[in-house]
Amino acid sequence: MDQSRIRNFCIIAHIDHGKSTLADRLLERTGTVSQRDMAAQLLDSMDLEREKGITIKAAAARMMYRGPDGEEYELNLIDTPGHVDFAYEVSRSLAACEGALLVVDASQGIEAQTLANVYLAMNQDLTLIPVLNKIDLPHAEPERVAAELERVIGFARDEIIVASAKEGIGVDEILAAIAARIPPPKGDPKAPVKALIFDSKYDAYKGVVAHVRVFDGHLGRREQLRLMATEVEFEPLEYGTFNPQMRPLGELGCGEVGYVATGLKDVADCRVGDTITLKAHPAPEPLPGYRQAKPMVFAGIYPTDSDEYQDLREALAKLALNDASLVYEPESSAALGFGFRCGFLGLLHLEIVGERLEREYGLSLLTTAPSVEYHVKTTRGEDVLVDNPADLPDPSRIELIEEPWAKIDVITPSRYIGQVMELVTTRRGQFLRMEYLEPESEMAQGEARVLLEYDVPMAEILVDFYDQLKGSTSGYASLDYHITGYRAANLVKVDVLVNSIAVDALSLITHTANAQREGRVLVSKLKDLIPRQMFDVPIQAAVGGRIISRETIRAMRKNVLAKCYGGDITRKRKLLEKQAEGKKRMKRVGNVEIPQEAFMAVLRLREE
Amino acid sequence: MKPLAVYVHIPFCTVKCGYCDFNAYAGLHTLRERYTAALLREVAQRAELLGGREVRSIAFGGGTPNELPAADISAIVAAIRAAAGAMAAGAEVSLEANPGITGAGQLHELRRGGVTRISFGVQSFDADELRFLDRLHSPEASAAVVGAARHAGFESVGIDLIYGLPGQSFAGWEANLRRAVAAAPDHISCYALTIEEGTPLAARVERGEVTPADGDLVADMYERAGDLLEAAGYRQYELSNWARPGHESRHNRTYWTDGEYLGLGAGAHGYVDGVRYEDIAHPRTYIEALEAGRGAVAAHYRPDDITAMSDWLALRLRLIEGFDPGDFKARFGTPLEAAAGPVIARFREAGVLDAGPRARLSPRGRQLHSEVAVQLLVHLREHAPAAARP
Repeated sequence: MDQSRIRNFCIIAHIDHGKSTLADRLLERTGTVSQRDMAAQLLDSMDLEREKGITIKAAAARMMYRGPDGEEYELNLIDTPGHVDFAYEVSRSLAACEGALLVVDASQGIEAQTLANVYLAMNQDLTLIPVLNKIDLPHAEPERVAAELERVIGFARDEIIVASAKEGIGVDEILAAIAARIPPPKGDPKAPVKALIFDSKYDAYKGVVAHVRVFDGHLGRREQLRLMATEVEFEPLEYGTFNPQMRPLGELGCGEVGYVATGLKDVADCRVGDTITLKAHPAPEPLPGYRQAKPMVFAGIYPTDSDEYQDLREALAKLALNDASLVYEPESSAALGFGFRCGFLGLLHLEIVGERLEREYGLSLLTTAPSVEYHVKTTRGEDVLVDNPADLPDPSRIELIEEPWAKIDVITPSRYIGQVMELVTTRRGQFLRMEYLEPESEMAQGEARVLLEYDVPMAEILVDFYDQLKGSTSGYASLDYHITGYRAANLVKVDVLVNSIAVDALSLITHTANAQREGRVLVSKLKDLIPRQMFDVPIQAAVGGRIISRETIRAMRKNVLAKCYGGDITRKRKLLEKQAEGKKRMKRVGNVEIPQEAFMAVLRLREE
Repeated sequence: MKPLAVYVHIPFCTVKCGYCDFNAYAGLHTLRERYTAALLREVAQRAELLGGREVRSIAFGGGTPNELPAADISAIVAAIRAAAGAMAAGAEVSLEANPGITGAGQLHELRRGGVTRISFGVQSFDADELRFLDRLHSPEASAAVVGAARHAGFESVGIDLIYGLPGQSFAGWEANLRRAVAAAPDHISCYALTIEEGTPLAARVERGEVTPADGDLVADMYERAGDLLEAAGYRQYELSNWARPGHESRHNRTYWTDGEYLGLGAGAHGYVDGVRYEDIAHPRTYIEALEAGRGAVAAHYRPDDITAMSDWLALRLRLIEGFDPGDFKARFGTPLEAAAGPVIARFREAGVLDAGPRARLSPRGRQLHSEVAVQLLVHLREHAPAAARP
């Protein structure tokens, strides 16, 4: 295809604002996929993605489109992950495009994560095409939301396309705008090859398949390729594009989007953001912006049945084949036995990995409370990274602890400013600035949308912050965050002893000022969650060996079947089997059986 | 000759109580004659087995066995006696009955028909409690029935009580115990009310009409029963059973000690030659099968080693005397220590099993029998040699 008629674009949208439906309509209208073959929402192919209504892995599709000018265009849609956990992946997908559709729900307005992605796109000089979606909804307010887009992002009113992907309204205008407004890719077809990897996945037959955008040169011959960051070299098995299934092609020209089947066995060799070049004629320098995705959230994953350790190891290895950002290493816990310490991009990533392990591999797992990574300087001058509270050195050996901080953006109607301020303050947050996205004078009292910016310790927003933010703003607030750096903190470890045995998996790291209260709440929650045993079980919380809270779970009094009737042993046994089944879901620590929920109690200390 | 116990199930009731989930039916009385005939056919089908055994006990359970005419009970007892290779000297023939049993005539008839031991489902001496339990008899009948049975000449007279009723007070339970002692039976069973899935009572709990009794209160009631009955000369020999010396149930002991028993009648369970089986549950289907000359067994299986061990331990531990670990080894060829050593040690440490050479529940452990049995089962499953796994 003539480079001047290639258009590379992505869709920026908030969850549920209709990105996948719009993508489906574009595929349909360009005849890429017939309506008959159309499983709803083709691009989100994982079950989990469909359930959660989000895109986890990027996907791509090439569409051929004849424009109103009579010319044929090659439109490459790059579907981007829609969640803040995957911000780096988003930035690489954006880098592969010249333009983006900004899809905003006409009844909701722009959300914090969308705005963050818009700024990312603007920084990369992408041409934005604003689309007001869902105008068919009775409570749509296209005028109001259009005004917001004008004011906040600076669009002209006549740039904004009103659409309903569901009803097929505005789809033709969107296609025409893509061809007319988004510039063709620049790039020199004669220069040494530079292709950006914006995603990769493992295929059992073709090895790692890299999704690429060719910036300079073209890929066509079966000659040795080289990955510039990982310095891995390989001979490609196949080139091709997506429609949206993989379709082999002889070559990928300058400016085009497609895939390279690398034959490599490990996605870690083929990282998002890396640059592919020719081994024989390498580009002098790689494309900018590569960095290794860094896990932000850590948790232990253990099999509830220790016999399943090997199965868990194999399942993690298989998942990691397709997920270079999932890191894991063996870990053992005195309480939980053998498992893995896993690092995730964020909480959603953690949740997805956990669910996939259980669903796709049939494992029964116990996940410990998530933790951030602390930087600890010991009195002997060593620097230690601690991503598991249990590993925090004794207070006497700690010179300094630093914790990661994030900058958060919250967008909310102004009537909730007070609630948001209060919530963030209890999380040790620091106010940075506030900006009205709409002039308050033009809005009903309290309706004007406001952007609030804070610095907050990452650990404070890790668990239930988002839920609480939603709860205290009747669901209106939206949130975006990114890690800004490390700061010294006054933190202590709270240990928990069950029946006088320290249970490492129940430890938590918290701010000194909160230790007393959180220790007390944790102990009382555990008292409710751990069933009565055959003997009294003391539960204690301690800081540096000093007990700060204590409760006792009284011994069980009664668990007996009154009668064994008429020699019906079978029935009696079935009742015992049922109880035995329940015990399977518990971990025995010392002599005490602790249910899975107890290990999650650490997450809910703020509820009281 | 190998011993055998015989259980005969009589599935008829005038009213099915709201808490009951046994194989019992109200409104099937028109089937009674055919049912007795079917039972006699099943005895005949089992003639070969019975002919090679010494029958030590016959037990009629239900339902309400006295819903069947005394003459039918006598005929069934006679048929079993005739088919048995031998009857043990002083063989126990027991029958469960309602305190509302119609007059002394029926009791005398049952006694003459060979029933030696009778046990009444008294359940309570309180009119409100009896009403809650859907029992048709009166507190007066509860109090009078032991004397009537003595007059009829039964060798052993027992009563059953139910405690832990919703709303029942500790004092209310004590009053029941005192009246039970005053009635002076030979044997007293105390059963905690269990809310069984699928019963009308469970539905009432589900709807919030009835609040189950607090578990700790029920535990206190059990302890009180033990103290009060022991003081009155009843010795506890099983988790729910107290008896004057010599009046322990021999038939039930067969269940608890891995003995073999033949089950006859709709839904009856049996355990013969290492196989556990269950007869067709519905009386009509049961009758039709036997009338057609077919067998009555609906399902049977041979427990694997782990299941057998777990059953053996759970049942033995129901006996207050517990068991000699040597008996376990004699039965399974494996020392108890090897099969369950760590759990047993854990139980002793927790004070649930008594110290000493015998394995037996401590007084506190008696209310934790299921917990003990479950932990044994889990341990046996997890640590059994692969060959023994099901």
